[in-house]
Amino acid sequence: MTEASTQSVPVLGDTSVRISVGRVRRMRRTAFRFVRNQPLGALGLFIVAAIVAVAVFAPLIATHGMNETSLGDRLVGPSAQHYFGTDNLGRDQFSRIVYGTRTTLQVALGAVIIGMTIALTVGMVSGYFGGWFDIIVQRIVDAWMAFPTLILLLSLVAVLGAGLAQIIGVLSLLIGVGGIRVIRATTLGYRKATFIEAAHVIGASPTRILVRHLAPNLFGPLMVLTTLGLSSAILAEASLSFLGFGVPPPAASWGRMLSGSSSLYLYKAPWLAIFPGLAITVVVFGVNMLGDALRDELDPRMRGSR
Amino acid sequence: MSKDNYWLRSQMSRRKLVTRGGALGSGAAALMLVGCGGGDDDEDDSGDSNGGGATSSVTPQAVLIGGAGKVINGEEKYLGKTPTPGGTLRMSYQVDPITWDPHQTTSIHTHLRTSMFNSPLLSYGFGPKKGVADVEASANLATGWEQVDPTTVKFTLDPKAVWTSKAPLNGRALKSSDIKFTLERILKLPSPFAGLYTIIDKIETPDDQTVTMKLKQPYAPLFNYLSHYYSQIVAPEVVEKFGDLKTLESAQSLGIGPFELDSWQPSTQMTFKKRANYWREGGPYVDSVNIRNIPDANAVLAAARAGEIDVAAVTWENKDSVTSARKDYIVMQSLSCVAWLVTMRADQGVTKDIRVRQALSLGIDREGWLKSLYNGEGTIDNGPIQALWDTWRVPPGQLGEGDKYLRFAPEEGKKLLEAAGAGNINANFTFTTGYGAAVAEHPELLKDMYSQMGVNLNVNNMEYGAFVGAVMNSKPTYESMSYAGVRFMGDPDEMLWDMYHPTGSKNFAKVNDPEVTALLEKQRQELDTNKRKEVVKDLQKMLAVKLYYLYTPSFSQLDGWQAWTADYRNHVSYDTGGYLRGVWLDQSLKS
Amino acid sequence: MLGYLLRRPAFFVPTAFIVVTAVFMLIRLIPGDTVDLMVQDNGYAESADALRERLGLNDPIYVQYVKWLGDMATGDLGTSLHTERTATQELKARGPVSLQLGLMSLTISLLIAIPVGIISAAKQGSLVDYGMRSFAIGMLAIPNFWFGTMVIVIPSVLWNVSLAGKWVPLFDDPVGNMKLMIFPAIIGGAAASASVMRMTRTMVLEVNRQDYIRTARAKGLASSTVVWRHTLKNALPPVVTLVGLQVPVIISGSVIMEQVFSLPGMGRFLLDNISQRDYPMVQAMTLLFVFVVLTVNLVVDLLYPVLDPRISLGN
Repeated sequence: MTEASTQSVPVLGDTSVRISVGRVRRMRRTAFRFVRNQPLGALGLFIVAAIVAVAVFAPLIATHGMNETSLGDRLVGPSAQHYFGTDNLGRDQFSRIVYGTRTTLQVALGAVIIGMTIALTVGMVSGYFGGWFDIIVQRIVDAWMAFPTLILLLSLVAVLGAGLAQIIGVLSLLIGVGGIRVIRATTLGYRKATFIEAAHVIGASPTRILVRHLAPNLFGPLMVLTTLGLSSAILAEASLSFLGFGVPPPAASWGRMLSGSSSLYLYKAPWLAIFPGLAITVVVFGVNMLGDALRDELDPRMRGSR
Repeated sequence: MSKDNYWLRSQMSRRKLVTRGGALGSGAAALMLVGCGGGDDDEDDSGDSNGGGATSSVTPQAVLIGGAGKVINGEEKYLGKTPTPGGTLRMSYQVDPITWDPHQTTSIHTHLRTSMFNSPLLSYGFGPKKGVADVEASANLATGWEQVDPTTVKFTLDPKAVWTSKAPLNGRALKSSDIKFTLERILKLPSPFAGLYTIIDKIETPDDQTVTMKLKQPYAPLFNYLSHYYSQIVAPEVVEKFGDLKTLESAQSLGIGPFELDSWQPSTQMTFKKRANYWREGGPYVDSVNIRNIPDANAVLAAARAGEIDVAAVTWENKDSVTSARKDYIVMQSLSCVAWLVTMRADQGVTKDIRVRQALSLGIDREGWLKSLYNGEGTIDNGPIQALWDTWRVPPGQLGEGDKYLRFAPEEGKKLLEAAGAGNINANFTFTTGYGAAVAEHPELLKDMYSQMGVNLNVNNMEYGAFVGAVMNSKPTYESMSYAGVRFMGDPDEMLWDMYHPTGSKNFAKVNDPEVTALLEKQRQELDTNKRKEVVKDLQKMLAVKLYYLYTPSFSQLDGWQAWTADYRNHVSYDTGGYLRGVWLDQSLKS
Repeated sequence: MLGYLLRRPAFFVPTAFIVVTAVFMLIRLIPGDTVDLMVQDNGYAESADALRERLGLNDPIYVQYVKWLGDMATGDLGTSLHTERTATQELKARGPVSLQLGLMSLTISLLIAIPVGIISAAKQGSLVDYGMRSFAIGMLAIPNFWFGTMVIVIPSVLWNVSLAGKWVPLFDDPVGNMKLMIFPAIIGGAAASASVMRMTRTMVLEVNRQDYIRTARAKGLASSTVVWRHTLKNALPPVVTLVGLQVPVIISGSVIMEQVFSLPGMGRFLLDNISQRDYPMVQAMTLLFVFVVLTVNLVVDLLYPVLDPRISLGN
């Protein structure tokens, strides 16, 4: 991406969230408005909330242990006992998908949290101070954005080796560097805002301005970046698993369930492929819908981010 | 190591290569996962023989398919008919060859293709009358041999043998100097397999038809090793013209085997043409062999269902998907030559204690393993001589004291562990996902079984390359236990020497046991096959008690081909040209 | 105008420079013992040292770098360790396959995205809007390798039809070629369509809010005329810039599609080389992909003022 699209990311205008006493009430109103204006977004929010709940309460929801084998029940189709059938070791697919939520979210959230930290720090500093640092960061971001996601992931994993830490690290860079541009553009818009200027006038240190005054106002774009980052992290992890560079066992991510033994039994036991595939699809769909809606609500003109 | 230490470094790595002779175990990941024999590089047909179907109760001798193979679907209606020539045999492969030089790689993706046009000095017999694992050396480029004395062997070349009519060989006759050139090339490079031939002291060529090999000591495995794909004979002119044999052009210029390489479009297909001046009786019958590159296993199945490829291995899970579309599709079951084993450091840690190793053997529920991972097909034992070599191995029930340790007796194992002062072991278990999804389930099952005995395995997953560095070499560095696959196909020596001799290239357990070493040396030098078998059998009984490696059950692999792919039979030797030579297309059976 | 045209390449050059440097660094990140493995497993050279020499890793890093820049400048992208073919040769053989797949995917993604974006904007808040957006996002959400595998397996189960492994060059057998290429192109294109769809929808909504559209409506122009004549003329140019953003997405998708459908393209070649540790080729292919993206973006930027005369070129 080049400057043309950077320019098209505008200043957050009058609709931006201001720190005020009426904030709580406003937020409640916002929530109602959100459901009314964005039914798809609300659906997305519901899916995301449900999936987080599944991850948190996995042991309560799962009907069997994650690695509990039952040799008598190998490759059994979906039934009342095994909702999503069993795999070739007789493990309950439903329970594995439930527990797999944890691995999948661990990878995706880990990557997003690190990524957002990178994006916030570098983006704010770059946008606020400008200068040479900004120019260099912009060129690096440009270069980075030119790498097709999968090519970049593959090259890095090929060199660094496949492992949970490496994958989270690489995905976080992917998400983080993409976010720098958005955070920078938003920061640029705020640089001349009244409350920043005011803070500057009363002698607040740049660190204080960035952390206390600017950062809270980046909540909107940050939320959008987070949701979209989650979706690309989940999909990227699945693709890496398919290509044999994914999260190694014993961690059971959905991507691994989908591309591991399930692909060997595709003709015989299609449920092994169908349910993890559906899980990924539904979650990525939900996260994207939520992200779109947040973008519309919090920052209607923000676009061009990946 | 510093940069100026060039010679030291260089020589060390050369030595490493030489001692790795026959080190199939440390080739690329795919190498291990390819089934035995190479009709199709289905990476997934190794360890995944599980799934539905009847799970009959398994008794040790219930399924003794061995190396002979058994047709379990379809009928070989072409048997006994006179072959009709013509047509194109259509096959598939998953991975392009890394190089075309058979002497500079351990990758079977190279050997499977180069053996179409190259050929070893001796050969195994192929075809429906031979077993998948029949490995008895017989005539090929040499019509026969004579053991002049224990350390001298004389080979007589076939006078009819001629090279391809393409330049630079122009159809010239095979000469004894070609054999000498090839073996010296293998030793000099050195080829990764050079270790198998270092016992050859000198090669003499008294005339164009005679090759005399002087050995440093009597060497019983020699004939099998000269039949194998790693000793494919090449011509000096071609090596000289191209510098080496890595390029497509050099491969296209070679040809002593039944076919020649016509064309290769990387990632798409390769075509081999029948040699017009092929010199042996009986084939090749098909005009050409077309091999398409299809990396996705499900796509291969789809092509087999549609009848668009003539040969495609299947698995227990997906065989029905092919046979439901093609009722007469021939599926043959045979035991695999791959052995999956638990390796334990014999030189350090708790596994140094024989009682711990025995206890760990008692903790494996082998019948449960067969049922859960291998569809109940296979045998509970698989080593040190793999179950398919039924002429060499000692089956369960005849191992004497060793039989005790094939049982599943976790309580007894627990007592043994306590006696050894090693109750509640917490062992690091090094593994790699490079073996693929199916094998990744093995440690999971093992961990589950061992937990009943109070043994906890901390599975440490490594990237395949790192795993090779830590486990699968002659100087392993893993801490305690590991899980590896090894594949043998030449000679019993390969399965024993490499894994148990202190200098063995696959001595992953770091075995250094004088009793074992003595028997290893003895079988190598015993030239009388029957006497050698006795030594090998004694050795197996000894190893069944000492348990340096725990061999997990053997599994049945499935080969498959269309009803009209007449006289097809896979072979563990990877001599593709050798076993495709007799194949013909029975148009009357084509549907 | 001239200033604008000059300024674009001025951004292209430093970016390209960073890209080249990054790809150079990539191979230097390889752990040391990997070179030993490359010797052991692949026999790329007689010894680890000889291989380092062959890879040029023995020189001081700045010498390596200067040499690398020189090679890149002269178009020498490297030679495969195992086939000894040059990257340029491979590009000639495989580039057209990837290019064809990429162009087909791009076309399909635009054919889906722009109508869906316009219609869902025109019917904002209706069931049609929600349905069409759900479709586009749904296509993005389905893991493409899974979708591809299903496209191979389901017709095989139902009708005994085999799709993969039948690639033929486009000009040898156009029908046979298209029969195989159309499925991966649809899957890749549909997955990539979501972002263009979003952009189109946003732009149409935004343009509709502008005064001149309101005026047009007030003048009594029919709704469809307004959409076609005014809205699209103003909303589409920014959408075109997104094509530049589509390219990396489509390339990533193609890597997977080439693998699933056995297409002899550059993506699969990259994958093969990663598993064979043929790092010079990994490097070359990565670089080529990145340059495709950079070039497309440059072209889009240069075309932008032509498409959208409103853009201020002086600034």
